[in-house]
Amino acid sequence: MSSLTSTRVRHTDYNDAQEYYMDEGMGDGLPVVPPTEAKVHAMLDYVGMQPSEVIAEEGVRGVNFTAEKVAINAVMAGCKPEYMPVVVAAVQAVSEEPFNFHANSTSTNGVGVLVIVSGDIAKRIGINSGTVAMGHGFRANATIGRAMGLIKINAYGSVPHGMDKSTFGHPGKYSFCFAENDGVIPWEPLRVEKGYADSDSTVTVFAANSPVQVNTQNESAPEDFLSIVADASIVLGERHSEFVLALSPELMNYVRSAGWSKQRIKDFVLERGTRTGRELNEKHRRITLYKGDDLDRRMPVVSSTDEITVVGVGGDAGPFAMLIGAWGDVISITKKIQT
Amino acid sequence: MQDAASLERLGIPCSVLVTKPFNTQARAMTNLLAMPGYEYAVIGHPMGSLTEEEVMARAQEAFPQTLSQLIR
Repeated sequence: MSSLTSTRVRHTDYNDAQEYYMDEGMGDGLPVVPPTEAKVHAMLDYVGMQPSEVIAEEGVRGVNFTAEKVAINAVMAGCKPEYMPVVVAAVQAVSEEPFNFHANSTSTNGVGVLVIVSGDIAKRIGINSGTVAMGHGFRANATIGRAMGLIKINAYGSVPHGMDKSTFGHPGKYSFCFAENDGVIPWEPLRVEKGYADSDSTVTVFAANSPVQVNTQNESAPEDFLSIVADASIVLGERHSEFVLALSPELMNYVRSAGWSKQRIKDFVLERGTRTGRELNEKHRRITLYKGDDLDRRMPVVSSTDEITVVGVGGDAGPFAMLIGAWGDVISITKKIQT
Repeated sequence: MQDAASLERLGIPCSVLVTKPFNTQARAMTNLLAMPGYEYAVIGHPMGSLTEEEVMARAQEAFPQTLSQLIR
């Protein structure tokens, strides 16, 4: 294993180290795990990478994400070495051109990197797909998501008040990672939908806006609770590039009983989540003023069902759906996790 | 800024217009693109909600800066 090339900084104690990272703006505002050489090497050893190995090249800013820099940020985030393959795949994914990492991490829209893991690695390393899957309490979720945030700041340069121009930002910019719950979905998992084998594990990255929870209390027929979801999707705004629709296990049970396919859900939500050009004009919810034939045409939130990702996730109680809109001109990317 | 960098390297003069709140990001990009002193026009913000007349006024505001960047 060759040696690390990053600058060494010696600290007198833990608190001194924390003050250094805060003063240098090398973090997200929370204390970080000091990236000692031993911890960084443990990360690299786990994935069998040399420090100088380039995991991915991002073309717009000309940034090479080396294994060393990715490992340092994974340590700082609090990752265990066994999380490193997920972080590596996520870095490869955000560096793909259609993900538009430069624009979405600079834009006023203020999106964060959402990492959805599909496959058996989630269970092996403890990525929560059940109760509080999108919240706190699980190290793998918290630190893998956080690692992507730190990489964006420290290795990519999207520093708040610098290249990160988020008007608001949102809490998911600290960390946003969950796993698909294979146990509740009656159809092909996300990894298979994206072209990988069922035996593979994958990450899918989204340039994610803040999630919007939709309460469908008292409805059990898919056409009823999905009407509520479709209506709520309109708040994402027209001409959205894509969105995630997460359905809780309770809703997945209704879907399973009614025999609805994933595609049928997408078709329904796309078709019902529309307003006419006239309605959009009247509500001032339009980018351009609609005229002529467009006045009666129904405008969808996204252009096709390919831009809706449906996942089953969450705790076993609660008739809730979660809508997660993506930044304007971006396409989510799925990568296989090398295990 | 990326487009301007590509075209300038081909010898085609460009003028980039940036609204004031994005000045920090624009300058950071010129540095990233290895053209740290590159001049660009900084105009008022916002643009999205302006009437056609107001857009014309912004254009008038930007014109002297744009002209000096295109004719060097």
